[in-house]
Amino acid sequence: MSEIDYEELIKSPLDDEKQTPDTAWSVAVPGAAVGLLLGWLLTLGGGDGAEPASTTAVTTSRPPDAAVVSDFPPGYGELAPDLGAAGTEVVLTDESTIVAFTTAAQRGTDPVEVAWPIGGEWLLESAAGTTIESTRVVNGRFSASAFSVHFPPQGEDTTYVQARLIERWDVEHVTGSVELPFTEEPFSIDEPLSVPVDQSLTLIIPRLDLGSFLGTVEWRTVGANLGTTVQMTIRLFDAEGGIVGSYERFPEVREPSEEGTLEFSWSEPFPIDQEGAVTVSLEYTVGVVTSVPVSLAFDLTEVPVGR
Amino acid sequence: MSAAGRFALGVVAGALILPILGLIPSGDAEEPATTTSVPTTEAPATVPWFEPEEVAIGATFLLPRNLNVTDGFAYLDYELTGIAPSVVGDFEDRPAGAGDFAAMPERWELTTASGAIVEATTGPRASSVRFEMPIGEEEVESIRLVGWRVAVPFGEQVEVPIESGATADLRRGRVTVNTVLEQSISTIVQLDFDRSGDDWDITVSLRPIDSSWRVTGRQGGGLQLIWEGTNVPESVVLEDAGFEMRPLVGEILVMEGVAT
Repeated sequence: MSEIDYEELIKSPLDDEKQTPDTAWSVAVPGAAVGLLLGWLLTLGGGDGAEPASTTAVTTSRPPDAAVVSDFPPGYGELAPDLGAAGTEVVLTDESTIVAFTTAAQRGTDPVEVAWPIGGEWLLESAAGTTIESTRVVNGRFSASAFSVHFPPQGEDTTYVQARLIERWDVEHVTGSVELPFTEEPFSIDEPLSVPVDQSLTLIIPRLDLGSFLGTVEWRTVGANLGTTVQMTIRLFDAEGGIVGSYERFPEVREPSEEGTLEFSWSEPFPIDQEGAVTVSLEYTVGVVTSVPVSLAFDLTEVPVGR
Repeated sequence: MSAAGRFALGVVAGALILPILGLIPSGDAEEPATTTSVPTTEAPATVPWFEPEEVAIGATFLLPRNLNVTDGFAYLDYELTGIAPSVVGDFEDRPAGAGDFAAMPERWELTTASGAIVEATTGPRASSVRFEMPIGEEEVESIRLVGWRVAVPFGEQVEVPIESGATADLRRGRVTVNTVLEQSISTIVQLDFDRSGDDWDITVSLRPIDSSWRVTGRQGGGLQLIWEGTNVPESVVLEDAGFEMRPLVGEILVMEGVAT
């Protein structure tokens, strides 16, 4: 299997979906602005009717500010473009001081379309003025609604005032696909697949095992400085191009790595030879992690502390 | 709610915000004696993130749907949704523009018209809370959320010796080596996983860090591993990944002035 047919997908499947901003809220925003204006106008002729003692005038250098449309719910600050975060709890364990965060998509964006960082470097600042560096960021494995930042353990009496993100790990996704001829069940590859993802990054699949219940893909990437994330969809096609079935895998938030293993499950009747399927399609999404220097502070003074 | 309704609510909310934020000038304020140029420093009004009937727990919406008092119990149906980014975009029941949520209600307080307080709790999969009303009372004055759970992702690693009966403790459970089956060119290891947390804790996956250990089966939270070759390591490092739903306390008004 020295020659591998692979085909770059020229666009994400999501590109076909209509980009629909959250218009539900955008309607209320001008309404509130009108309400503010009306309310302000009403106050001009209001008051208790008392006349000023003398004729005076107050001029202001600018009119009152228009209503501010908060990008995020109260307490949430910008974490990344279109994404906010707020500390929810500081958890003290024997091994770590953990600062837990939840996230919120920015007003007007579709939460399903919002990208999220995969980690970063954080500083935890105490009321006494000490600063410690993070050791790890743990993402929610199947949801980006929460993440936790781990720091070395400190004394229980320490009061934390702020967590500051100084380096954010953003992810740029590259998609593509590889097609292989299906032979028989169980299906495996004899030699590692080497798939150029872009000019500097190569996805290597040293092992691919597909069976009637489980599928396993081992992967590693070469050429990424901060590691990658890899997601994959596996489908079998018959001679007419019809889909015989797809391996199922619950979407996960992957942490950056240079290698990993993906597990899949198959629930359809599995083809045993080329009478049932002729092509195995591996559709991959490789997340290339890049470091973005930032300085974003998150207040912890009101965040509860627990064990 | 229709777009016109949302617009109208925005108008009302905007008008109501003014007095709250002190932007309405007071009639008894002392008048300045001279003409001055004073930059306005009033805090700008903020358009609320949520609709009035939606209850915010951080970035999670609690949407009260129906309150019914019958046979001595008060039932409040609710839905949860959120605005966090989501990995999955095709949930059938997901409202338009909604994403994931990380908080769930747990502890509630209902105040009756006479001032009696009734407590209730809900679990992680609940969409309704039931309050046992005091005898003879059917009027609900208010309902408050006084405790909720918030997801904290964890990813603990633990090293387990490859020998039958060996155990290792995790924060939310224990891993036990059930069977070590040595074959001619491979070794099969079956591991049991006993959770010690409550229904709130969600373990997503228990898996070996070293991909040389292949997962060949999963059942009941445990897993079966196989090591191909004769150089079987003395231990395997496993990662337990999931969410710990941490309890938090506070007070959030859910409903008020509800006549039933």
